[in-house]
Amino acid sequence: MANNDNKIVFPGEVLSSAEEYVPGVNTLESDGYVKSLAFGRVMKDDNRMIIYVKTDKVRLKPRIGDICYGQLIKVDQRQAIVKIGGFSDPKLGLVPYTAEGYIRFGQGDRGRSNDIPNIRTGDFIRGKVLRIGQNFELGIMGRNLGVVKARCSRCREFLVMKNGSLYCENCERTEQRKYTADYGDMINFGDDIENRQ
Amino acid sequence: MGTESNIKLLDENGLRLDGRNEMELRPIKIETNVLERADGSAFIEWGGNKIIVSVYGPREAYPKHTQDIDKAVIKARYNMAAFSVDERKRPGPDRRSVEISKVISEALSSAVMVEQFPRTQVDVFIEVIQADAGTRIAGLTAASVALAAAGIPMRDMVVGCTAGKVDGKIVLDLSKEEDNFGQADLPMAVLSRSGEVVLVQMDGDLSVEEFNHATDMILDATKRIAQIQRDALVARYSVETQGGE
Repeated sequence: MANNDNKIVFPGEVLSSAEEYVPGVNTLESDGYVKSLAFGRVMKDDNRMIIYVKTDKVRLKPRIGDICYGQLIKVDQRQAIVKIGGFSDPKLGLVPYTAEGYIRFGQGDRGRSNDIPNIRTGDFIRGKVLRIGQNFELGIMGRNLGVVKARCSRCREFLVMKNGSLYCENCERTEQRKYTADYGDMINFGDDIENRQ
Repeated sequence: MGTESNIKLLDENGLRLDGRNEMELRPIKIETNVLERADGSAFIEWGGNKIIVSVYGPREAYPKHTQDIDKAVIKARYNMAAFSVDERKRPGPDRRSVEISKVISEALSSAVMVEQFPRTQVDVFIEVIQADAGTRIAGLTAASVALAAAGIPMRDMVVGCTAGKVDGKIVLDLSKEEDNFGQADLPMAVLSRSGEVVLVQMDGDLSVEEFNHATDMILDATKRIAQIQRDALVARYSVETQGGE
């Protein structure tokens, strides 16, 4: 049970002796004392004997199972590199987060008829975090995962959904993608919102 | 420190041009979270200095070759506005601002727990809007507050002050005239609790005794400045709590 004694502490301030509490988040054990590493309020968990500092700036990081948004910056035969721009937090909504991720092919992510995956460089995707580490592994298997917005590979015009496939109104041709059920519903930066249908 | 001149910087009572005694600081005011989109920010008024600092990060370091696999990289950028000084300053980085950015980055790296964030960078933008001597120390002091406001883990707060030699006497916190026409200038920054020196530069000549005396004055002044830093952070907290936390 964490209790909040409302004490505001600054970086470097001594919170307790090392015998009293185990150092938690934003703390450091040094010279026999637990010291604060951040500006915030002291929290003590007397059940687990942990002392930590709660800052008002919460640093969020995607966890396994979170939904991430990003743009494909490279696609090759084995994997696609994604520049992650944000992820969905259940409480805060879409949280900006910059990182690099990858999507591995070979487990049904490829197109069935040939070896070319149905995602292309420049596509905006929604993926689920499968693995965290130095880079995030994302998966796009699922009805609501995949390409949320794509550009025509010939003229770079945004593709629109038409009769169950993605269609370029400029080139008058269709393209194959592993798109999401709500393809095109997202409002992207630079879209003409007023003229959207 | 500029050229020697005949300007009398201390009067017969030992008071300085602005009426301060040798141990007196100029008025200091620090405000935090002045910018909405930065992770942390601070505005400092130190005498005639007006400096705004913003902090972003830790975030993935770009370009990638700047990444350190073991720790975060602190990228400080000190920049003086063209209108910050009497005579228009040519905008953009110059030799002086590149040097100051480097020493500030190194000073902050000593305080921030860089080992906790490998391959990332923390951007610290120090924009001098109005300059009146001691901008590097004022910028560094505000940068430390902005980092704390951003919730970035730090060992200690960085706090600094300058001292110098004016008309043969060691004085604290040089003003513009004293900086330009004095005999020496000693900016120094320390970690506020441990007293560990993280930045020291010297322009001009000081004897060993004078240097020690100046250092003592600075260390004494940093205690007062550190309290102003803490008050600024607490003030922000109390405002936010009143707003309905």
